[in-house]
Amino acid sequence: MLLIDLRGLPCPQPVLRVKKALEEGNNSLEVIIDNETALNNILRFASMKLKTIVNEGQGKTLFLSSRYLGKGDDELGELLMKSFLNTLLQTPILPETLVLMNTGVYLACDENCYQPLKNLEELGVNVLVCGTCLKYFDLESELKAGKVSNMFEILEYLLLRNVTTL
Amino acid sequence: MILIRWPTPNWVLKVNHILEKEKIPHQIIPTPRELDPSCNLSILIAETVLEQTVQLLETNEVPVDGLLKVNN
Repeated sequence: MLLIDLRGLPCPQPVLRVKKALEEGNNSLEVIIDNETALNNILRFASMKLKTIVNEGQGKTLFLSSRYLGKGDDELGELLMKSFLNTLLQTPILPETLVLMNTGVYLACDENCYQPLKNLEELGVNVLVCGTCLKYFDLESELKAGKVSNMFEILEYLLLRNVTTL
Repeated sequence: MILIRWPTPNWVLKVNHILEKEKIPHQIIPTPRELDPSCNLSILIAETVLEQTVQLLETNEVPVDGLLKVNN
């Protein structure tokens, strides 16, 4: 993550500096500002940029039916899934939706792995977490990212969207 | 940020457990291809926890020979 201190800069320098940082290939920025005008300008710019990124991944749904990526060794699978989600955050084209089912719901609840999902949500990715699965694993009160969904909504995504199952 | 890498992902597994147990924030990422053309995993930590991390790794006999300061 690139940290940019924009305090003391006159308008429109703050938003121009953010734009430049993004054009230089920095996909993750932490910005320090000291006035509301700069904040609103940057939020408006980010919102427009975000719509462009999410639109390019429009209709793409990733279905995560497990907290592990791949089969065979669960410890390796856990590492691979964490690496995958962190890498997804760095890609220029994001999926429209992530659907988490079965042990996949742990990814949205475990304090060691929910953050990338939270960040993806903040970037506009829809993160759906199976409510039945949360209940089964007694994780309803542990949800830290995404929104609780149900089979009807999830089925709609799986039937009508371009789905990749991991 | 500091990128730490090892020859095999098995070390990443061990280090991940150590850092989680000590609640040291870290990220598991694929090793950048510029550093390792083969498929491998690395760990990213903030510079502020470097000293603590290195001490933990030494205590747990994890060899530390691949440290690199990165921008993000």
